[in-house]
Amino acid sequence: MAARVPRNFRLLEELEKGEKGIGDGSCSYGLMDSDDIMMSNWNGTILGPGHTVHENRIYSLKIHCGDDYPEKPPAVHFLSRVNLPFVSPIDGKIDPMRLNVLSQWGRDSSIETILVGIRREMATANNRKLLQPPEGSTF
Amino acid sequence: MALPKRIIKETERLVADPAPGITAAPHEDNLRYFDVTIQGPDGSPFQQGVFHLELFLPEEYPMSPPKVRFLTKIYHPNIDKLGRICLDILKDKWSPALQIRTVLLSIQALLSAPNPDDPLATDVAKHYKEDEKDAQRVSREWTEKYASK
Repeated sequence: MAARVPRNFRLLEELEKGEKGIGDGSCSYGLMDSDDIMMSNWNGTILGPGHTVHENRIYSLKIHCGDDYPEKPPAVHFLSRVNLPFVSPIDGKIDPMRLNVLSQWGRDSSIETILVGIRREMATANNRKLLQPPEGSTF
Repeated sequence: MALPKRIIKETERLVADPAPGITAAPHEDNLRYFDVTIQGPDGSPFQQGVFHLELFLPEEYPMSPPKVRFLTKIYHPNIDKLGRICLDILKDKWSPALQIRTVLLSIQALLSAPNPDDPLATDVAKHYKEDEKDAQRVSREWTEKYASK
């Protein structure tokens, strides 16, 4: 049995990784409130993938990590309006059963894997051409 | 893989023979994860306070240092808003000869001797350098507000 990193130290690691910047910069995240000692509420940003209807759009999300993170996935909402099959058109909440990175959540998953997974979904054949709400509108 | 003998021995001693003003108890469901309390040292602005911390021994321990953070808010130049601690032995000055006990004693000593020249909380450090008396007053206020027994 390998050492199991507890929630708070795991989130500190994610915070430090997010501050350095991940991948090519198309996804980013950080704490919503820099003195939230329980590190529960996060902002995420996804730059819409190229050659899709999302190109050049910037999407904001909020991510809530509960007490049982990372055993359980966080709750994820879009703040920017978007038309995607796994996002509620009413309040922007992501249905965890309809998004692979949440339905197949494991300890190796992270805020980063969620954002990257959502961005990948935006570019699938089914989703890349969906009609979108006006740019800049919010839930 | 069972818990390394070194960790078992350190834990037994922490519980049976605790350092003055310090408690450390492992979580039942994760024996590498400790609940820690440190009493503010007498003569410091943190006197009378009880500060909660959490400590985790990573897989590589003791080749890598423990990870420690304050859960109680504290106004101290070497401790930031998320409770992260700037202390050399938790970073490049770590040695496997050190232990959980020595780490916690060093943190207790850091409360007595803030080091504003190596700050983590830059605004607090600036306050400590410009007007130490006033900064200590804020440290005392925070101790009363957040760290009362």
